[in-house]
Amino acid sequence: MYSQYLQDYVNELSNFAEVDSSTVKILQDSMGLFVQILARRLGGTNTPIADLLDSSLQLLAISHALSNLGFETRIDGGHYLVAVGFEQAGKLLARSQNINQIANSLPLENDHWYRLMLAFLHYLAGGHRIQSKAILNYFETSTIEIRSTNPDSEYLSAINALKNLYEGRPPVALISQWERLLFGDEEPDDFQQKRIYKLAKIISQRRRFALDLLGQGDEEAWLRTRNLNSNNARNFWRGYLASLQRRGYTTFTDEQMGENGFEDWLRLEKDLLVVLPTGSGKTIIAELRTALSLAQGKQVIWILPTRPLVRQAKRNLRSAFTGMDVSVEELPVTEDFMPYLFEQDIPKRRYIAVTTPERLGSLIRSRKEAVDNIGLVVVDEAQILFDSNRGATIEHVIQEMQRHVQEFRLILMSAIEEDISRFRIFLKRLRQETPMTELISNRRPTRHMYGVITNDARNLSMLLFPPEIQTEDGTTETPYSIVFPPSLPARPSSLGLANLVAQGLSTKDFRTVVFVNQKAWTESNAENMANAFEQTIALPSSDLERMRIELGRDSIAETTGTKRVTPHHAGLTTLEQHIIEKWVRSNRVNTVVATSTLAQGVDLPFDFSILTFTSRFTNRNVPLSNSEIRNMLGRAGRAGLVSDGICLIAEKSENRAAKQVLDGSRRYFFHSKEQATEFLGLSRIMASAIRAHVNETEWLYELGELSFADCQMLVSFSLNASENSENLQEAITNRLQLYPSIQDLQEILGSDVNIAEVLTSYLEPLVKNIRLVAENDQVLLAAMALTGMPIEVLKNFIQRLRDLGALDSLGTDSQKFEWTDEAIKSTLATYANRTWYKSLFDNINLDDMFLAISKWRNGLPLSDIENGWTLKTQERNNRIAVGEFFNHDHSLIAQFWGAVSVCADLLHPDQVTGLEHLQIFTREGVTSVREMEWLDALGGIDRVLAHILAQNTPSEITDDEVREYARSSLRRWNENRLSIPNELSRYVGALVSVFDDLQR
Amino acid sequence: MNDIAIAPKVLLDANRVDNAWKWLTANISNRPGLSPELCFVDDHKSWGNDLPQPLQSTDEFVEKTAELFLVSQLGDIFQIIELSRGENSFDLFLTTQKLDQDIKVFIESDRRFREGLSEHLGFWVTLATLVKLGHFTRHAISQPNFKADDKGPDGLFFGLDQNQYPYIELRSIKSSVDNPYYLVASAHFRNGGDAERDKQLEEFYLLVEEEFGFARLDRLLAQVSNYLSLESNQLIRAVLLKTSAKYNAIVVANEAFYTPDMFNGFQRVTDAPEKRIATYIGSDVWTRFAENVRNKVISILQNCGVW
Repeated sequence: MYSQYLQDYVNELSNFAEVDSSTVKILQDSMGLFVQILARRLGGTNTPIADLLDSSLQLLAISHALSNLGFETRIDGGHYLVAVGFEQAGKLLARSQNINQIANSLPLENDHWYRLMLAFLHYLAGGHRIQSKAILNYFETSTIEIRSTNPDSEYLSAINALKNLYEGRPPVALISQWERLLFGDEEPDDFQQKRIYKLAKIISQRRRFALDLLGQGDEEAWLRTRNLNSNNARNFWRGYLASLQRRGYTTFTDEQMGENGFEDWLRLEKDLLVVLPTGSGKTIIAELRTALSLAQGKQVIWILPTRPLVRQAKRNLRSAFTGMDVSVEELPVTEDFMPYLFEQDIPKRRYIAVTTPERLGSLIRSRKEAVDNIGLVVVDEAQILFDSNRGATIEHVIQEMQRHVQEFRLILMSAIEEDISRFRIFLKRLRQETPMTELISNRRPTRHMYGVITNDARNLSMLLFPPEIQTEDGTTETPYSIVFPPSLPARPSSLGLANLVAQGLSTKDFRTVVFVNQKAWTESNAENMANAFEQTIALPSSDLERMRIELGRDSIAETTGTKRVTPHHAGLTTLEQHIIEKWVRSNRVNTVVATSTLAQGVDLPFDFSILTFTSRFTNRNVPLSNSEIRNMLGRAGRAGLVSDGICLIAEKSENRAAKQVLDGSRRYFFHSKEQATEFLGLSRIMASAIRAHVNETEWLYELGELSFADCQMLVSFSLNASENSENLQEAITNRLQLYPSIQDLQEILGSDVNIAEVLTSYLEPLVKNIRLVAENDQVLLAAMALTGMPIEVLKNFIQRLRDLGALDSLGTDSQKFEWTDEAIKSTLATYANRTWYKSLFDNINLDDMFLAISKWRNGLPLSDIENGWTLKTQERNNRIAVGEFFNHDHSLIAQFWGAVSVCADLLHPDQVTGLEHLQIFTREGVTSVREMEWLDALGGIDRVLAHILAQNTPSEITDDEVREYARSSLRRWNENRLSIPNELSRYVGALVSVFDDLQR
Repeated sequence: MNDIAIAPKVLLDANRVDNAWKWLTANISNRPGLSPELCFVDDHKSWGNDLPQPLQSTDEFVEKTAELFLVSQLGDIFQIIELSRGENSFDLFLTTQKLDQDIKVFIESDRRFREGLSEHLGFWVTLATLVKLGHFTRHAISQPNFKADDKGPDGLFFGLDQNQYPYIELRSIKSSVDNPYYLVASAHFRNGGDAERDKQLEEFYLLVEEEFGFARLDRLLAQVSNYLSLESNQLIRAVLLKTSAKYNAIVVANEAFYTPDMFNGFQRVTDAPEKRIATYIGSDVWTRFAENVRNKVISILQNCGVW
């Protein structure tokens, strides 16, 4: 509610009406009402007092006037403001309506329903598609019960017609009253119906306008302007436009279309930078460009930062290109040193690969030719370019694409406004002469209200900033406040304040996330809240059974989830986190107490986010960065589901007036966004390399100053850049200069210093030292180049493998693991004094860790591992530490197994060593291909279940057949539960939960 | 087809319509200001300048009321609004040879007619009272509520003053042959309890707190906005400048039942006392007055040969 675009909308409407915009208080009224209704629902009192009737009359009059105007883009903002007013109060009011009240009145006589329908129509009429979706979703969920009890209800025919309107699908015959209203040509007499009819007409006109701009009806001419002249291209584009229409993507916002209605950016020859807030429809922009590249006969790669996002993008793209002979797949390769290939070949036809950057890097490293026909690379969440951990990887991958594929175009997409200039510079440096265009806007699809929870004497108070442009140094004359009846102890804590509000919100079925500072606190506070609630709910038994199989015990999520509150932190298994997120989406759980890791995951539909800390204590109190605070608070509101998110910081008043606490929080909410100045991508690693004196021989052994991953990257980069080159200096300098972040560094330092040469002066000795220590052992040098692992470790592995001679002597798979585990453990023990060892294994008993990893790989439930491994003395803390190890540290440590694989492969290049999959198996917790394939088919998070299903796979099924067997079995079992074999009857519940995931 | 081909039947000529309106505005009492003793504007209606009195079941009152009833029941609302703006009067006519059967049935029922008449009285009293203020450069009013059992307000007046600021007044009308005290609000509500539907002030309260009657409000506003005939930008301008509606609780009953206490509880509807208006339209004996008007209406219609 504090964004410039909202003020722009107010100005737009004011200009149209010839009113001084500073006197227009439509947003203030709307928010005032929202707060007032919220206060009454929660049993508090609010100021300033708002007037629902006055606001409704104002909105209705504007609604009437706008509907009479017809389709005019200059009043799109007016439609938005009216819709906001109807929606904000309307959704709160509608919460009080039960299903009987809905069933006992007709849609047009149901005040709350009618109000929200007007919001829906105005959003769509103004081209605010995603906002209208939130209301459509509300209609659909609020009438679920009616669908079973009264399938002839007029609500259902109304919702169907509204959905058709949203999706741009006029019915073949106008049968219901609603179809006639929304799609007919006869203007009704009734005033209410007339309004609906007119708004629907505006929506149809807007839709036609967009499709015309995309060439529908004259595809040939439209494509000719993009140098595409083939029949194939025309037919493909025509089919794609039909798909857009089928999916209802026929209205576009101004931000999506650009100033010239697609002309500037929907072209093959341009790179594209898209910076739009989350939920503003970036994906459809990249999808349109993807379709155009496919029409050209080129293949496309989408890069996303996490596997859940990869899966989500794959689902969306599959739906977009259904029936168009386009193959949409995750890149069938893992990120391991020896990639596990799920498919042998990349199809030659129209193909979209969806992947994480690490996997694409792995593919380029192992099979460069696979990317030859790529015409477009889409990087979603492109801000990871500037992430301290993964920035160097993504920069490297894009750089490698650039080196190997000449004619591809690049799209960078992000929601991070403050990174715009860095993106521009990155593209300019990397792509040089390639033309580039931009789609940039700060118009958010969700609205945020910011404020604090504090204590005012014994009263709990919630104060919000008024909806206008706010600044960091401003003061608040009249905050929107809610004061609750006296209930506080004498010295309440910030966390206590947050918990009280969250409890109140939960009883009224608002969805809240409370962020706390420590993992253990998420659990203890979730338990406290759960204890305060009396009412329990039944959680899906299938999900519970699934978690019990993985854990071998009850999950904390179950213990507290029955009271609709759960913890969420990185020490829970991925499966537990996944189930909790699923319960939040289905509104079984409405309160989550989380650490900041929740802010890095997929979006969940929260109404409120409450932050209980603004600094983190390690050795001293370190303030959180503003972007971290904003990221956590930004979890409230979700495009298409929750239009208004309320973001609160809980802070004790400490004898200050509540208003002072509010104004004190301005620095978190309204601090002007600053461009980051720290070194990024490869340059960050290089800057650290200088500090660490990587040119000195000692560094090669100790790997000090840099993180272990950075050391790997540095070593690997240096060796690859200088590979096969006699002139080390020139080779390294040339390669460095290709990287945009190195060019950034050059610019910062000025022309007096040639940064590439300076860096080379460190890297060249490093390479020389490596070569010296390697004593020209080509296997060791190749292993170093591929893995970047500590040289002594690799040397030790190679020596052991050489001593072993033929790998056949290792025996069975199980014996291979035994041998490898022992080799790695004793090697690590040898170097226990090295700096890199201490950074990885400080305070960890190697014997216990290797036993735990062995149990993990052998499919034992997590509780078995927890019981045998003491990382912390207290039970809860130990459970969390073990969980965190397998979620986080383990993938790094599994690389030692990958290093053994690489060494074995290099020593026996013409032989299948049988050690190829050590890394992925150790990381994922399997010991065989069949377990791996089952794990993948199940979705990658049911390790123990994968073992069980693999054990029950008929022995005649070969490793090559198990993938198809696993997938077809799951399909068959899902279609007919009776077909699940008797020996798996104990696991039916867990399988049902998996099926539920697979269907989504 | 035959009905349309034949010339319309004039029920009241323009002169008679004009006279009825002028009689109304000349005799109806003005709305007083807010009294310091009350939390609402007490607009206790009386008629006549020299000797103010409630509605009387006498020929003059009955005839004018019957004529006004016919105008608002059968006339064109646009013409009524023009008449109230001081423009030309009009002939009230029927385009059909006979009165619509539904209307005839409605008039034949003394109870239904009496309830309907209260809606028409509320309409005319609001229109005349507000027009007499002389504030408006343009105004419109919704037609009397023909479906009195609809939830939400019964009518709406929308005027624009010289600065184009809007004036909006909602009306809710209750009539009773007995003491209307409990139709206005329940004791429970007056004492701070929850609001019920079907009570006048409580419905206002629910409208303000829970938007009870929002859909009806929309229909009324759309109707009136249409009658106002403003350009879209003018209408938006007006409501952006200021939107502050007043609540007019109109009660039609015997004059003897009048007491300002009847409207206790009004303070719960809105914070601003000047936005609460209580209009009491008393008559000597409400049933007799309504019956006399009904007979007069039938007589006029019979004389015109449309009954």
